[in-house]
Amino acid sequence: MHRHQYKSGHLRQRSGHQNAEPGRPERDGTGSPFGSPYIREEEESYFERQIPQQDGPSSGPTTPRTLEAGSGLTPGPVVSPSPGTPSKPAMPTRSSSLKPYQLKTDVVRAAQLPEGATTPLDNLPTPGLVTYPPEPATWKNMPNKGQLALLAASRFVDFFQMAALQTYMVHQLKSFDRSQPDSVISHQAGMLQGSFTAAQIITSILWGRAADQPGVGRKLVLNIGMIGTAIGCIGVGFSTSFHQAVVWRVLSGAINGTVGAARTMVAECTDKRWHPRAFLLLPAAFNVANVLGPSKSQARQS
Amino acid sequence: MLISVTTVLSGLLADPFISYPHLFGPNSTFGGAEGIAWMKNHPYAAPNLLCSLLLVIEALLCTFFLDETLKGFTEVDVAAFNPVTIAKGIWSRLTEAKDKGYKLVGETAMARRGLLSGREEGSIELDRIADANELRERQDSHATRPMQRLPFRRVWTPNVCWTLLSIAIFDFHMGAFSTLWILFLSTSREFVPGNSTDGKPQKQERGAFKFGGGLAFPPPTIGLAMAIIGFVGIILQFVLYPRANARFGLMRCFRSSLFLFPLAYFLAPYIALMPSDSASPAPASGFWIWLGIGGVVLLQVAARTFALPASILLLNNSSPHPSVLATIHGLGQADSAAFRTIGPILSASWYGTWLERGVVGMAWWYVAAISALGTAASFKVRNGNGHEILLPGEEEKADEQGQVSRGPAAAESTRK
Repeated sequence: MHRHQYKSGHLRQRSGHQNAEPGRPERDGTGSPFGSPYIREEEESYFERQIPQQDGPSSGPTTPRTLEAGSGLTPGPVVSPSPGTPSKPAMPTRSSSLKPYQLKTDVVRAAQLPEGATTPLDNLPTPGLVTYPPEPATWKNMPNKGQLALLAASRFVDFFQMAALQTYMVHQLKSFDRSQPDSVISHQAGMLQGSFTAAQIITSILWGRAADQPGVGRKLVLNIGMIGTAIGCIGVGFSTSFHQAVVWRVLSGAINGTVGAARTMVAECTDKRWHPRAFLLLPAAFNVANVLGPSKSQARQS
Repeated sequence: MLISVTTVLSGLLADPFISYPHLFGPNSTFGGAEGIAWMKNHPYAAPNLLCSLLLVIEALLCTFFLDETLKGFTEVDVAAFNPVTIAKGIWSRLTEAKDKGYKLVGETAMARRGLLSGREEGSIELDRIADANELRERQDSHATRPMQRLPFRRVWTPNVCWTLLSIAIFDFHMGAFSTLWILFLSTSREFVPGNSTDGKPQKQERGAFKFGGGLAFPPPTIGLAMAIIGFVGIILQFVLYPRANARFGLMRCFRSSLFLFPLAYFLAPYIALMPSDSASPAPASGFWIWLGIGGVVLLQVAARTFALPASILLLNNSSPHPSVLATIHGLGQADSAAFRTIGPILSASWYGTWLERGVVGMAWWYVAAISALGTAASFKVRNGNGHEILLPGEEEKADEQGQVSRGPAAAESTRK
């Protein structure tokens, strides 16, 4: 029944039901005893272009018009602006051609519902105001900030270990064998750096597949990658030859499927509207790690 | 300032045995009589241990505070690995063996159907109960039906392939730039092909395209030039990118930024032709040189600031089905890992070869041509909705969500 409400999209389209006597069960094919949407003629006037002339302090370019959902019986998100709506001249222009509306959904509900019936408004994720079109995405109203911070931090520590390795790599390779010329050292440095990413070429696809398995999940892949890389770092630190270091780097690269897992989790824990901002956090973590993890002295070496 | 931070950090942990003898050496605070042996034998263990520590802390934080986002995630049943349960299972097996394999039959649908339903002669009452039970079981299984999953071979939609190609080219020239940039900055200014046997530095004739020589920057100046890159990047990323993205839309930002890469790579070698304040063997300096460096760096970093997050986003949106999102990102990771490995190797060998032939710009122009190919490929990429393939049973749901999900997409298309 509610699906019909959503599909109709606009309240005006429901006028076909107006002839039905209130209270009499109406047959709309779904076999519901309560009939079709609990909207009666007099209630519909609530949604009919009641635009309070609010000239108070406007909150930025998106000051919405507020519609009182007095009985609270409307599926909030589908109230779309009708074409004939008189527009307020002071309305700032928006990039989208749609005009913003808001529905107050926390109004005390009149007892017009049959016993035990619910409306879609009861299942709203955040009670209060429902805005259509949705208010523009900003850093401030971005959801799941804590989760995103954790994910950005996971990228940061991964970039940090790479940047740190780049810094000490040349010195460490020299410490393995003092007699080697610089050309060999720089070749080995390239090999050591490349071994980490080369191992990822194959394994990151497999880690991606694993992260899609219902029994594994993204979080486990992320955690395995970080713990495995941590072990690999210890291994490199205690290596005594170039070959040992390469083996440890290959192993930590092979176990590290964190890039894909973190990106997937960022995508899934924010709504599409915030994606341009949310996906910024990962390259930003890279930049921060590059400044903190002292990779600049790598340039000094080469 | 950046430089000072990095030098402090790099000096902080390497070889603590030598750097901090009063802390870790013989007769020190932590060292005891001999000093800390592992720090002496493995001077580079300390920075690696710091990395490991950070990784482990982050893993612990994720374990306790990060929520799994995979829809239909089923936690592995730890109880199945409980040693007591396993032991009990083995014990019951053994006792069963003692009972010669006979066992109380459980109340399963199959058993009911086989023993009680009796289509021909059985009681109707029992039959009805069994049917009702079956119906309930079927409904239960329908409610908890696992999420539809797209098989791996169906991942390769045209949009995914074009996006991956675009990312491959992007990562190739990103890797190539960082290598070529350092090589170019450090190459001596009048590079003479071959070794000058007569002892005199022979001057090389210079044309619009045929010229050799870099900037002969000493390492600290290279460090400064690299720090500029990082700093410009962070500022552009947080100030310019979200606004431009909101204003012009994702696709337009992505495509127009890709036009900057060929331009930057084409112009980069011409910094060597800029008038310098210092004469030839000395490092290049002066206003024009730094203007050239700043211009090229600004072009490249601005382009990559826009292109990198946009390419992640496009890859994310190109996913044909939500159930393969992590697979798509895994493919993207493999893709960029491969071409970030190839890019520096190939470009460095081009640079070496053409520097010998006296054309320092050729490696740059090769990379410029490849990045132009990437620009062309980007026109085949479109911004998907992340759910292009509908698996059986999803049509109805898509109908319901259609109006909602089509809304923003339509708004964006009108903006284009």
